Amino acid sequence: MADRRIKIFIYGSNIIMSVLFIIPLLWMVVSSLKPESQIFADLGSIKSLLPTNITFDNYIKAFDRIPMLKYLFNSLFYVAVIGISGLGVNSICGYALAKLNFKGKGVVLTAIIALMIVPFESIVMPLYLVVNSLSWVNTWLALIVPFIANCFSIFMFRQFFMDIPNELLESAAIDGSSPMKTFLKIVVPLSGPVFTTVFILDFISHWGDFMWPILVTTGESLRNVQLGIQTFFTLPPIFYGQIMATLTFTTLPIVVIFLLLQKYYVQGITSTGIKG
Amino acid sequence: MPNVSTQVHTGTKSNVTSIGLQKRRESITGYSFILPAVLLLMLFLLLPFLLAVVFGFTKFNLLRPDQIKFTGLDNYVLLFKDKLFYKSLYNTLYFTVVVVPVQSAVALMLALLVNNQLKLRNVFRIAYFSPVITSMTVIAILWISLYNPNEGLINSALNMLGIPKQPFLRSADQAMNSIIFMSVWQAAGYQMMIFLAGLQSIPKDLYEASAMDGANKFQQLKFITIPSLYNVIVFVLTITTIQAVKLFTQPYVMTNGGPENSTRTLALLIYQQGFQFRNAGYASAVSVIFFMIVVLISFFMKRFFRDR
Amino acid sequence: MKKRKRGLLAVTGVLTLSLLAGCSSGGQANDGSAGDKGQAVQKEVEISYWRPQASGPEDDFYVRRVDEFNKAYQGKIKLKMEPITRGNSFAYEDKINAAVASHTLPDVVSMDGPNVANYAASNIIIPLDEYYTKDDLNDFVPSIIQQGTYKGKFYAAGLAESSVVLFYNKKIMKQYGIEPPTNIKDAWTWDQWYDVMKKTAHNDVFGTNMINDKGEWMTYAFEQMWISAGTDIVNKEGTKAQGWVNSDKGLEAASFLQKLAKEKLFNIDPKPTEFEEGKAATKLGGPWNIPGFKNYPDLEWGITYFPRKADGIVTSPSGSWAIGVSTDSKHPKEAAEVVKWMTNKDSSAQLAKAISMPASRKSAYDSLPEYNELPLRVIKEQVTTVSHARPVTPAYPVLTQKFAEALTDIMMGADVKESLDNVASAYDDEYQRNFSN
Repeated sequence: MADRRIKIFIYGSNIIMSVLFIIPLLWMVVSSLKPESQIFADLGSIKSLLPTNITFDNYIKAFDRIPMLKYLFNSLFYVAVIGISGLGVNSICGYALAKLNFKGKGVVLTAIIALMIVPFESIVMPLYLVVNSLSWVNTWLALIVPFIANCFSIFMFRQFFMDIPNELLESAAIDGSSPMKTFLKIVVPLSGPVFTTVFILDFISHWGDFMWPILVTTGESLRNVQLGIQTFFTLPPIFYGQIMATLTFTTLPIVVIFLLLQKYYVQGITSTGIKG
Repeated sequence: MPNVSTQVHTGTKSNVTSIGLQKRRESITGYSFILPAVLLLMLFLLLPFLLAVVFGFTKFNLLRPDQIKFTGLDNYVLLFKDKLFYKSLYNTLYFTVVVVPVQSAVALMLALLVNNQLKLRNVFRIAYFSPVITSMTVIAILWISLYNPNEGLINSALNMLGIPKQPFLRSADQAMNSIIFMSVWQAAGYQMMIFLAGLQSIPKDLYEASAMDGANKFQQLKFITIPSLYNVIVFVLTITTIQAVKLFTQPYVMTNGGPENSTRTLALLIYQQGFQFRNAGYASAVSVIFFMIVVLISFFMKRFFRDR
Repeated sequence: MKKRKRGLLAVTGVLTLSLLAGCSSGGQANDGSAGDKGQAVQKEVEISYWRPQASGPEDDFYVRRVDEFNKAYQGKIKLKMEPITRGNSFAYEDKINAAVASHTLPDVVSMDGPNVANYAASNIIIPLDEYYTKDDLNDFVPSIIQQGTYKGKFYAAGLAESSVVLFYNKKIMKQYGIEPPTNIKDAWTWDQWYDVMKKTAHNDVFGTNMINDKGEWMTYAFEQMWISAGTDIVNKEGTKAQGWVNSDKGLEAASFLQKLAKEKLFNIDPKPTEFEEGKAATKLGGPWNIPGFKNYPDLEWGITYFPRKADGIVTSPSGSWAIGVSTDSKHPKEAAEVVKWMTNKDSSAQLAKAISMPASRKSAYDSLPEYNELPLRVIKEQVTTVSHARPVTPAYPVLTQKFAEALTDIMMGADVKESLDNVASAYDDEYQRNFSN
């Protein structure tokens, strides 16, 4: 009985809360399918969330203005490279900080947490000078390499790896497994949720890259989706329908990736299984 | 029950054989594991930051890089006389103190709501996460319209309850709280994801065993879930604090620091001075002080967590 | 200790290295491209050119004009244009900052009007006087010369002009029997405009719509009220704001705006389409709004002049993107050819046609007959006779930011004098500190 009540309570709260959270996304999608003049006329009433007079005009016009598919490919490419190489570099670092003993570990960890504090705005110019002196301006390297190592990801991996029972690692070591092998064969398979979360969070943060790509890229070939979207704001008249269409189109990949990765959220290991 | 909670975060040291050799081997492994990340961070984060520290001691107009001039502590003297700096510092701290506990609690609650086998769980998860991935442009349009002092939906609702219209974002007294409310809503999904990953990492059989012992859901939450999440909670509180002190986007798009600087934060101040006004030297000095203050806060936070 | 020293060494090392590398690579980039081609084909010089990316028709105009240039100068100059994303932020300016710091600016660079003085004062762009004849300069509308001139030298030429007018909803005017002036001499005074707002504002219709954004727009549009009142927000030389922005006449202008806000005659957070939907009787806006009006077939609109103070002059905002030659350019003569080409009569007329913005050259209006009739005649009159550019000062970024913040605060009820005093002291401090020498 109690369980049933709890289930109803959870369902009910979820439905109410979901509505409150998803309205903007919904509004964006619905608005992208409306004639320009209706978007703001409907704003403030329930009509703003109902797709009436559906038209794909905004999409057609938006795609006519900028090569959105190309920008989308560019973004997917470099953000995925950052995300995937980041998983490798940061997870192994986080693992060492969580489970291995070496001198200076505390200092490194403290430094990593401290460096998270630095706002990007305050280092962007010096970073530009560094990247420029490497002659990376206008190359993929400038968009990717500086962001592979990520304090946030390292710290998150470290916190999650802390919870892995030491017995598990030790028994592997006794069986003659090298540290790298232990990491790959035992730690990684146990850590689906954290790898997934780090990837998603890293992905969305770079999906929104705007200021940095402007500084280090000139011309169309390296342009990403955010630069594409900003094109629509450049000069009046600003057509919000086209903006909504572009935003919908560029938010979709994140939703897809998010849903695809859900299957890696598997309830974790069982503690009894560890020893056996 | 209590042994469950301790088991999670006290690791026993490995059994002791040929300690010296093993220790050295472990050190070498440790260094090689952190090497790639540390090298990259030194070049692309530490070095730029140190350059910014150097700039903090100079007069450096971005448009006149060739006229960069060492001015010692001038920027710092100026900064400590700048009323706007204190105002921004106060706003930043106020935001942080309110947002960190509230947002973390909301995030944990959301994570608990979707950490189950409900058929629609993926829909709920994407719903809670959606404000994080929805463009700030869209969110700003909607919230500015919701908060509209003349014709906003929130005011219409208040009106029905017989409460007079409120100016929200357009009053120095209410703007920061309005931003806080909207920020919690917007960013909680982010922390929810981290909590969710933590919840998914808790061994299932802990719950099964406790259920057999007759524990109800709330007892499970208190004695299993929260203690098992200790490391994750530390992580979430730390990063939420760090993100909160760096508050930039929400006030930038909603109020641009106004009215009467009531939503000006340190990150906004740094951006305005460094980029719009091109005073890179002064902006760097603000960054350095900002950094030192936050390090100090995290130092106290760390002590707080250790004491528990 | 050791570590620390090494760290410091590395920092200073990279600092100098990067600045040096910046210098040399910048030089090479400009030389290299030109040099290579120079040996292959006779002496073709390659000129690079940055401009902010715009909307469709404007982009088409640029592409076409650059093609035509390359045909006209074949074998002599090859123009390579890069559109840069600008967006609704300062992204384009940030990019210029970065390029300056690393000496990688292109030969020809576009800049928003108020930045000309800043770039000129920082020696980023060079004077163009020797490349233009007197007659040629005189053909520009006066505000273009004003915005492009710093300390007596002409640095940057505008491709188009802009203006702010008062749009009105014809149906609403008819309903209340209001006849907006069609002659510049009869332009509404602030009080007349106020009466119109009072009459027309009711229920969900506002008397006017005048907040495009709370940033640059605030300075661009409302500085004119200071000018009309007989003062300005800084002195003529641009060295002082004290006694100008917060002068008695200035306070009067700001108080007028506050009065409108207090009486809720305009919406502080309007939807972008408030006027188009018939929810505002009048609107301060510009020619850029006109293409959007056609999405609203129910809207009947007209144009009248930017309101003036009762005993003050008629004036209106102006300003536009301008182009100049960067100091880094190795080929200033060829780069100046590009500037002249992009701002000549043909370019000016073609751009005006493409984007419904007024032309920057008087002669261009010969081929734009639509500007002789109402409603566009109002725009032409303002642009060619009464417009004022924004203040020409290297500390403009601080001025506009602080002024816009203060005006926004004032509209939300902040103390008028205190807010404007803050602008004056912030500006004067900044000028003293960074530009007085």
